[in-house]
Amino acid sequence: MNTSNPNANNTIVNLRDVRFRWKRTSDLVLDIETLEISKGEKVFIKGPSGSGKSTLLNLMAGVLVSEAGQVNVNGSALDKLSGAKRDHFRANNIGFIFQMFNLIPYLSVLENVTLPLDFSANRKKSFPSAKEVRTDAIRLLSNLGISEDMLKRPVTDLSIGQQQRVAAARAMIGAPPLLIADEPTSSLDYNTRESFIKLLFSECEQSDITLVFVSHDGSLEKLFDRSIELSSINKASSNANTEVAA
Amino acid sequence: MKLLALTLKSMRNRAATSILTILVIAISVVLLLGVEKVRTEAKASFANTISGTDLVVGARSGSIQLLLYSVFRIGNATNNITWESYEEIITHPNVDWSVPISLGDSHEGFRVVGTTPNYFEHYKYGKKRPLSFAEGKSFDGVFETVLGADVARTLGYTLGDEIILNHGTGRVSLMNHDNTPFIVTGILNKTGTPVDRSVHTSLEGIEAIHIGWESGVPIPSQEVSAEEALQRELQPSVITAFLVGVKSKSGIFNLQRGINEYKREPLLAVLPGVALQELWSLMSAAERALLIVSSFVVISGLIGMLSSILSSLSERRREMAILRSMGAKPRQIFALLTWESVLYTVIGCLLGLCILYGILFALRPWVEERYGLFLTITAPTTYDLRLLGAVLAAGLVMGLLPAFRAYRNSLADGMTIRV
Repeated sequence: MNTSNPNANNTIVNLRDVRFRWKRTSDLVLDIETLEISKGEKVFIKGPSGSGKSTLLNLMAGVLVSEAGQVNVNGSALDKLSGAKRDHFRANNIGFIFQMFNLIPYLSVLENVTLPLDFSANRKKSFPSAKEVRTDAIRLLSNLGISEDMLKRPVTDLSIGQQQRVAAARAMIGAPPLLIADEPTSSLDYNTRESFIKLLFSECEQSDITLVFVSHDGSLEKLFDRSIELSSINKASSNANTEVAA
Repeated sequence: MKLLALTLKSMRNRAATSILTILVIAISVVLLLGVEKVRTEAKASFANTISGTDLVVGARSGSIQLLLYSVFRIGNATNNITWESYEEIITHPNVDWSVPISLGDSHEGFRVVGTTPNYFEHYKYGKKRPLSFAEGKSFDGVFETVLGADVARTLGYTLGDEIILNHGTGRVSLMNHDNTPFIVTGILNKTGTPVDRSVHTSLEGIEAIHIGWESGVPIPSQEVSAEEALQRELQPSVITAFLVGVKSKSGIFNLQRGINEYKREPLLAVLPGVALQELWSLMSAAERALLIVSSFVVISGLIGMLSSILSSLSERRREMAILRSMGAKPRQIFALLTWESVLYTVIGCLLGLCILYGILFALRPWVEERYGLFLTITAPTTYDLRLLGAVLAAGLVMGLLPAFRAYRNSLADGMTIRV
């Protein structure tokens, strides 16, 4: 699963002629000729609501399958994998941060952070024992500004900003090669936003994680290595209609 | 964290609903198994009341009625048997032993049984267990009595006490046989049968207290003291019924036919086991109705569970999406929901069992006192386990519905929930 393709040794995401629509009869949501993202890159993908940003992320994460074209992520051809294998792939390779409601409400901060390891043997492998898991969770959380005394707290006690940082720690535990963030800052105010992004960056650099970040709000794009306007690579963008959720 | 632990935490997060759901299932299980327990206990208690007796003989009526009044002391005899007939019948070569019984009097609401000391030797209950004395011994003289365990305990009698017997079987009697007191010579051990609630005395004693009575009322000029009564001829002229043990089991039917065709008066001989069977076949419709009613209670409990899981699904879609984003497979989402219903039913069943046994232990003395039903508390029977298995299976099947819905939702939603 994780065997990297020698031809794409420095590319982690490679999309070719990818087309996607929700139903056979509906219009194309995505039609992307080519999209390459290099390992270690921090990429900002910008587009208005309904432009297909979330759909693109779902394709990269192997939740959705394209109608045509090749989706290669970290050496795996997602378009050729079965559903169960794509789930397996996602568990091992991808960390995900949502816009909001990121956390499982009935788990503590620590349990939320370590949850992905239960679904991924690969990510768990880097920790010899439960103690190391805990140590690393505490390290990630403190790097992201969550103090240790919050570990046992129910996540519902946290502010939105704190919740997003816990979600980031969860997405990065076990160092998945690719971190996908779907408007993670839109529920934060401007000051918190920038500090959140900076924490995210330093953590990605430390753990060698590639970051794909989508947002409709261009104010953050200057912080990234590269910014892509989705409409510039998506030939279906003119057809994008409002029935498609962002 | 495994899926099971995740499910448990999720259920704990919805503690109020979860506890209520479990309680509803537990209560329905209590009802289902409780009804079953009462049914089998009543049956066992009935069946245990008499054993070792081959025939019960009384005046001709119905076999169930004869069994009820002679053994269970429920209801009254329609007629008596003359002493002559009794003496003639027991001369039959196949009669091993016989015990006459004379009913019709009471003491403080407990039935008085006129009989012979043979009663304590031949009357058996349960698995051919004989009666045994907790204190004292069998009556010997006319004005002596042996009390069943409940009689002695309820009325606080001890050996040597004098008691007054009433005519008639009501609890309150205006006509006391107070001129002829009886001395307690023995108290029987507890048996869990109507014997516990009986006052035993000799046939002669029964005769003695009725001297000077005609048609059930005392005739003042003819009342006699105990001493005077002893001078009289106390040979009973009638008895209510008698129990027979045979020498050869193969001759039972022959003897039974002989009694049923007895010329001098219309008599009826029944095999206690057969009469008990008849009694139970009468009850089987009621038993089935009870089972059906309690099954419906279980089903409504499970529907309650179904609705609570289904209503939680929509608020948990986001949670499922988060799990999916971490690589949870749709079938793991399916398992998560299935675990939930399995846990509800398993915990509900276990809690139900605990409540049931708690109730059984708590109510045992009361049921025994009130109904003379001795509840034997045993591990669940195979039938109980089959009922529980059926509840679990039904719970699992019902749980598949929300699980399947969550599975479909998570396939369709992926990680993008439109909340």
